[in-house]
Order: sequence, then C-alpha cells, then structure tokens
Amino acid sequence: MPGNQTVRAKIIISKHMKTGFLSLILHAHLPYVRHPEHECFFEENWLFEAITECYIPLINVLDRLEKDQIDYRLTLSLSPPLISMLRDDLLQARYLKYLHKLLELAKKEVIRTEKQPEYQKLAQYYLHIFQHTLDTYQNQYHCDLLTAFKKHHATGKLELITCAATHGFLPLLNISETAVRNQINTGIQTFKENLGFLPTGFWLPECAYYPGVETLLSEAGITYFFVDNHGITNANQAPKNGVYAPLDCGNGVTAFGRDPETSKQVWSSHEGYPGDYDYREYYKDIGFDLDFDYIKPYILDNEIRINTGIKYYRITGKDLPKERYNPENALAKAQQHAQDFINKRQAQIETLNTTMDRPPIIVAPYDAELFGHWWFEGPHWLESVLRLANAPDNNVQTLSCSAYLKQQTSHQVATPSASTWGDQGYSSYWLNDSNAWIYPFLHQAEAEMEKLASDLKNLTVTPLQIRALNQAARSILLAQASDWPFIMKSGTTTEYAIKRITDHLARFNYLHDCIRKNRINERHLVALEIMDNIFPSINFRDYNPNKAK
Amino acid sequence: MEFFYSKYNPQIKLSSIEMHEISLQINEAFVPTLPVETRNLTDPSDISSEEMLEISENISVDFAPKSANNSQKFVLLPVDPHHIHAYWNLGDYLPDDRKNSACEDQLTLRIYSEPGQKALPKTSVWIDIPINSTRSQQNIFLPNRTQEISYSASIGKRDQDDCFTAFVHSNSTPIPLGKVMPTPIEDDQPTFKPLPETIEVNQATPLAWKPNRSGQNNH
Repeated sequence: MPGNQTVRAKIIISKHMKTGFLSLILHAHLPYVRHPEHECFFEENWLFEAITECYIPLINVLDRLEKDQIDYRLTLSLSPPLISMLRDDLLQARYLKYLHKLLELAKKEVIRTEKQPEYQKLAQYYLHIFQHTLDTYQNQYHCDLLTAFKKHHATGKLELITCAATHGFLPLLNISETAVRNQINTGIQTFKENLGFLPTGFWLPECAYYPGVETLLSEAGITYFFVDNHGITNANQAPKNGVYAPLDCGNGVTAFGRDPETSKQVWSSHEGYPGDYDYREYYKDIGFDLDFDYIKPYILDNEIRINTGIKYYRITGKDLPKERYNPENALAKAQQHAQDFINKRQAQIETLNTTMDRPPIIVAPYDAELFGHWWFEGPHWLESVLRLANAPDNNVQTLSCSAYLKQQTSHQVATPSASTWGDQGYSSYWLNDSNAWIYPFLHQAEAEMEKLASDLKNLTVTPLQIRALNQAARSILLAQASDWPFIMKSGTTTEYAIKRITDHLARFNYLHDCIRKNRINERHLVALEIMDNIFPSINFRDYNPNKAK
Repeated sequence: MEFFYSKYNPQIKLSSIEMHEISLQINEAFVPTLPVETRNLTDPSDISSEEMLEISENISVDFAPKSANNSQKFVLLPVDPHHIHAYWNLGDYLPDDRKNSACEDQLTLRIYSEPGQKALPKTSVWIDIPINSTRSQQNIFLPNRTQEISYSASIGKRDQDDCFTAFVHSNSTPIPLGKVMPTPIEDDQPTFKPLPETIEVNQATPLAWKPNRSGQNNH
C-alpha cells in the first residue's frame, strides 16, 4: 500500500482505537580510532566492521523503506567521533582496502567450498553481501555515509541527533562544569558542521544523567534527552505516567525514559530475540576455524586469528554442536520476532491507554552496533518492525521524540534521578578498581587547561600558540572518552585503552609545558595535529570557566 | 637640501640622507631575531608516519602522567546510591608540623551529609573513616537514608579530645536514592562483585605502555 494511503488508513483506525507511539532510537558510536602513524592498525577494524555489518545494512534498510514509501519514524544518534571518522579521508581509503580484502577472501571461500554445495551457497551469500556493500559505499554514496543519513533525514522520517564530543561520562567529569559544557557544545558543533543543522535531541553518553545537566543542554538548544527507566521512576516527584511520558526537568528540557520491556526483548542474552537458535552464531568465524596457512593473509599481522565476518553456523542451542546457518530460516525468524515485538507493543499500548492521561510513548533505544554486528539479522528485524508498524491494522505508530513533544506540549515537571543505563544502573562500571586511577589525571588536566584559558583571557596569542592551545584542548577531550574506562572494566582491549588515555594525557602535558614555557616545536605540533585531527573548529578560549558567566 | 629637527632638541638638524643612513645602521645592528616558531613552518606532508610515531612515543614516555604531579587535593565522585568514591593528594596541603609526622595513620576522613559543610554545627551528621595515606583513593559505603542527600568531606586530624581539625575540604556531590540494579547472572558469575576498599596509586610512577600486538609494531 503506498505510504500516504497507509497514513490515511491509520488516521481512520485511530478514530476508533486509541494509538500509542513507539520511538525507536539507535545510538551509533565508536571510540575515535585513527592511527596515521601506522601503516595499518588493528583497532581501526572496529570502524570497518561496523560500516560493513551495521551502518551500510541500516542505510540499505532505509533505502528500501523509502523506495516502498513506508511511513516510518526512526531516530539515529551519531556520535561526534563516529561522524569524524566517517568523514575522514584516511579512514575512507583504509576501509576500501579492508573491503577489497574481504571480497578477496569471500571469492576464495566460494572456490574452497566448491565440493560442499550448502557451504558454497553461504560463501556466495557473503560474496554478494560484500559486493553490495562496496557498491553502496563507493558508487552510491561516494565513500561518505553521512550523505546517506542526511538524505533520509531530509525526508522527515529519520531524525538525527548527537551526543557528547568524545562520549565523555559526564557525571564523573562534573567536578568542572566547564568540562561538561565543552563535551556538550563541542559535540553539537561537530554535528552541525557535518550535518548542516542543529539537533534538538541529545544522547547523554551511557544515558548518564545527573541533576543539573539539563541546564547545560538547554543552553545548547537541546529540548530532549534520554535516561534509563529508573531515572524516571526515581524522579523527585513520582511520575504519573511511569516511563511512558517524558518529564519536564523544570527548564523546558524533557527527559524520556527507556522502556524496560522493549529493552529486555532485544538486549537480554537469555530471553532476548538475538539468542534464538536460528540466528547466526557470532563466535564461530572462519578466522578461527580454517587452516592457518589459508587464512593467514586475512588475520592480524599474519599471525593472530581474528574474526573475519564470514561465519557459517547458527547458534543451534546451548552445549550442542553448531549446525550450518540457514539465512532463509533466520530471516523468517526475524520476521516472526518483529511481529511478536509489534504484538507486544499493541498489548502494552492497550493496557497503558486505560490509565494514562495521554497517548503513551514507548521509548526503545539501542546501540546501533547491536544490529548487524552482534545480531546479524538485526537490521532485517528492524526493517520488519518499521514495516509492520506502518500497517493500518494495529495501534502502534512510530514517532520521534521531537514529534511527540510537538503533539504533547505540556508535561509533568520533575527532576529525574541520577542514573545510567550501565551495569547496576549508576556509575560503578566507569569507576571501580580497574579504572578509578584515571580520574585524578583527567581532573588535573582539565584544571590546567582552564587555568591556561583563564590566564590568557584578553591577551593576544600568536597563531602558533593558538594552534598549540587548541591541540591541548583536543587532547583533553580525547582523554575524557568514556570508552577507555569502559574497556578497562570489560577487560577486552585493556592495554590499548590504557595506552590511549595515557597518550592523550601525555600529549596534553607536553603541549601545556610548551605553551607555558613558550617553546613550541612546530614540527611536533604538526605531528599531533595530524594524529589527533578531530574538532577542527575547537576554541581553547571555551575552557575559560569565566567565559560562560 | 632640506633639514629636519626634533622638537625635543631643535639644535640638531639632519638631512634626509643622514636619517636614512642612521636608519640602516640601526637595522643592521639591532634587527630582532624571529622566534623558531615563525621561521620553520612545517608542511604537514613532510612528516612521515615513522616520524609521527617516534614523536608520539617520545612524548608518551617523557610526559606520561605522574600521580606525584597531581595537584587535585580532595575530590568526591558518585558511584551509586550506596557508595561514594574519594581520592585525595594532600601533599602541600598538610600543615608543616604534620608533613613529616610519624602519625600519618591517624588522619581522619570525615564525610558530612549536608553540602558545603566546612564548619561543624553540633546537629550535623558525619561519618569518620580512618585513613593511613596522604595520597590514595577509596570507595566509601554510605548508610541507608530516606532522601537524596549531598555529601562533602574533609580530611584532618582528630585529637585526644575528639576535636577535629580539617586540613582540606572536598567538593560536594549529590548521591541519588534508589537501589543498585543486579548484574545479570551469566553462568557462574556472582551477581554482585565486592567493591575494593582501597585503591593505591603508585607514587611518581609513569604509566608505562606495554607493547601489544594490536597493530602497533607493524613494519
């Protein structure tokens, strides 16, 4: 059914059936990983895998929905580091190299599995996916995926928002309001420079809210943000509508709470959809399974086995031998799960409508990288959900939070509780015995940067000094990324996270020393400007704590 | 030929040629030396990846963050409804008669349950925690309460009469009400991991980088 007829049908339906809203939000973020000082760098693969498995499949979903005139609504948060990496020439070139290598491997797999027809079908399936990925990336969008997101934003169906500059964990940076202000404002500035408009919504990194941050968000022009459900349920006034209506924080900025039911259905490793036995098994990859000499050119340093993205098995079941993956069955299962998701939302909305004084909004945020990377069939599930929600025979309507705020103009006033969506619901994942040591250094560097900016207020500085000061500010922001303490706690690439944060702090210390002694080595500065080339418009004077007053 | 003179001494008259000669002599003898920064402008394309790596590694070694240099004296950070995290570096903030004292183990960390409470009214509630280091980090367990409260703290010494003399004060930080969410049980993982009581930061130890395989030693 063409899109506008569907809308008219839904309006007719809604006259007889109370509707509710489903707001799907994908938060896309990766830490800023870019190493021009190395010919190639393994951790840059995080971006390349995400482009291949998450962002291009998402763009393909949006392209198909648009082609079929499906009237969906989806919100996508693009973090500033991700925005910067997607636009970066070096990383674009390296991604193409990565993709060509993947194509080469897929072609070899088609040959290798010649005598195993069922596995060869899968190898051809991957080859087709990678060929389509290359076509989308290089031919359709000319290596700039932000143009794809902008295109869909212009249709009015995809709302784009952003988050803090380097995804800093704001409650633990908040011993300096200037630090938090710069994380917020630099993030928004980066978004505007690359997408061409200011966002109205903001994704607090890790949904880490503390009372008062709404003041800084309001100053930056933000009208809404997200908290986990206990941030709403533990607000200073009991929420009349639970997490199914936002709270006005008292200054016109509204907080939307994450719905626990939609969260569990997707996130839970035990109960959630992604654990279904028909779905592709993430942990069985040819990078680990095949003969070493064969796979050597496609693994790390020709020595260390890593995931390639080509996987032939399905989850199958706990403690059972893994069985061959069947894409048709898996995608059919994703369709079933999408229908189940919509059915449950319908039931949820029907129940909520009996008690609420307004249409409920079910806020369902997820990490974008779940869809396609950890959950291979995730993009197909998402597409099915958006198509099903568009059908006229249900009471679920997808809606962005900003559109909800245009419809519902007054809200209960209350201050949410400090909270995060992290493990245990507060800050402990980012502040524990594995990572607490970083905070004295981060706070010290911030204080020194603010003193520099304050001392130089009303003083003229040379162009070289300005460059060094701005580079020092970049180093601070990069050190503040919440990814580093997160990785230290999760124990995955701990040494890399420690190296990153200590490198950035060392670079700040170096620049601070050079600036204070007025002995700036331009060659060294240029090297740092090349390596940490994020935030080109940064202004060190924003670190003067008296500037905002 | 026209001659010129200064209003400060009309007796001395100079021709334009003489003034030009004097100007050239001054330039030759006293021209300022341009700082290095404006003389050697570097084209970014001149820097190789090897040179960038070398610059990066040298900076990382020579300017690695050292805890001994940390001047942040005493900070509280919120962990969860039941815990607050404190770090302190008393260093120069200790009174002279305490700096070399053998009784450092008698320092007291006093937590106040009202914000910005530096003076101690008799009705204020506080918790005393003995500490034995002038530089450390510690998680502190908070008592149950019925409302959201802000905490601040002081470090000082309690004398024999129980009088408390504060040397340094912290920021104030609000701690929410609520319950810590249980960590999802996976396999045999415990639901709650115990929080450490003390986190020691090594004195003046640069945080060394251990080389690893992840792309950093490519040739």
